[in-house]
Amino acid sequence: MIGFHLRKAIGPRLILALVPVAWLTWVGFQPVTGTEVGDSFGPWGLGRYWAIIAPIAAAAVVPLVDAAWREDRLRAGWRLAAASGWAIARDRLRALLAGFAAYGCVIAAGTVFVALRLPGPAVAVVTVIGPLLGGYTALCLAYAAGVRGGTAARITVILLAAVLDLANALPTPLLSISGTGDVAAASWSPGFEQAGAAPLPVAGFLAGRVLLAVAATVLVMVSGLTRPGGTSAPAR
Amino acid sequence: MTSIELWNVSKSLGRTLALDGADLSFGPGLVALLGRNGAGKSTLLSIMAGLTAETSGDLHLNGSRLKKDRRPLRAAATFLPQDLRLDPATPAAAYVRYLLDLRKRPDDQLEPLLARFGLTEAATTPIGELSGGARQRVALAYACACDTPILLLDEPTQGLDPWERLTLMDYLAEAAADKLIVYSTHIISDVEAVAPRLVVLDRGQVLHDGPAGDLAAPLVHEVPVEDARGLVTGRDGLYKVRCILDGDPPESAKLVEPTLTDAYLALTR
Repeated sequence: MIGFHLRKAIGPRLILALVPVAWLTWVGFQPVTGTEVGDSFGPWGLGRYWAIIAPIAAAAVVPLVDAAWREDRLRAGWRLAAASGWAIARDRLRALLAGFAAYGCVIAAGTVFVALRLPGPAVAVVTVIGPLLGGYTALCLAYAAGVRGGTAARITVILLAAVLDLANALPTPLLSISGTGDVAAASWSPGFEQAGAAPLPVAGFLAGRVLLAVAATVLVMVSGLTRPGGTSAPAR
Repeated sequence: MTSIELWNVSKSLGRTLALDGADLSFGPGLVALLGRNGAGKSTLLSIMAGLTAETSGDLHLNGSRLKKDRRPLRAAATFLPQDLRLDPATPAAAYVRYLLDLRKRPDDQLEPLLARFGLTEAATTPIGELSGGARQRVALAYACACDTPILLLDEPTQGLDPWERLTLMDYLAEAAADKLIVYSTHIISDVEAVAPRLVVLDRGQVLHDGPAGDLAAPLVHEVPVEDARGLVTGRDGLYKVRCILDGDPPESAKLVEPTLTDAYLALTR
């Protein structure tokens, strides 16, 4: 049933979202040495550059998955099916995962461009692991905000997360969408500055991300449970 | 055998008493629910579906009094609301399967039902591209595919053409052999055709509960009317108005056979 929600997010809009992301990725990554936006960026610079693209992708994906996440349509279905609280929570998770799958496609497509320009083990880490791990939490928060605040709230949450990440204003690396902000520098081993190395998230950082993802998932599943099925149903 | 009993059930919606001390008992069979707009039909069906809590009174499912938890009722009943909202972007069959999955009901009856309701070709069409009647049939196919012992339909024939209404009534009459089916309607001919039991609501109160033929037959007169231009059309300047008179009929009036519509109008006027 994730496919049921995902199908609604697939369409010409996906291409429209991919084009600017692919272009940004292509011009941003220069073979071997680093990026075209900063000569001495190195892998770390690439990470930061990708930190720009990932939020853009996420912000583009939010309206992209709007068809799958539309609260009024979901509620109409739950009401018609007299869905129980658990069934609603399960369906919310499916809708969220469908949105995340669309987001993942954007990230993966960007990675193909990066890989063409910059072969090497750091590519996967910089362009896939960080944005996918952090992006999941960001999308969860956006989804939960959208349950009550609609699409505008979703985009606001995503953009806020992106801006805080880019400005290195986050108090903890766990909140970084890209996982490459200053506060997240120590969360990778070996560090990004070591050319040619393949940085991987350290265990503590990874465990924290997983815990945060689980918490965000629970938040999504319980969003709006006070009104099961969108009806005036009894409390239980 | 499934049964629902309502003991002195009332429901307030703000200052309005939508249901006023309803005492009703339902077992397997087909029950038609008649009443003017705002009479409390949808509220009654919603309470019976476990989707709305009553303000006072008791509900019994299969002889057991229900407390706050209405999950048993929601599991046993399928409710098709009047204001249908189906996802316009999704193909009909895929959407029905999604709804069935939400309810954890099997979809093995779906294909035959889609065929019965004339939706085989429309099954892969997005719901938003279907006509109003076809959308209604998609919802009916879902409700019937749920195959729950209780089926509650709020004005299910709206938007259906006469052939589609016949198909639905045919199905309901057949399915009522082992299910409780309660449907509200404004179309009296639907009641006359198939429903052995009729419940009439007015301002939240039960005015009639029994066979349609037991409705008190009013005295109905046909009164010739002259010069009725602008009101009705007739032939050769001859007009007749069917009316239920409060006082003595005029000499020109002629007593005629009352219909179920006459009986219903007399009861709820």
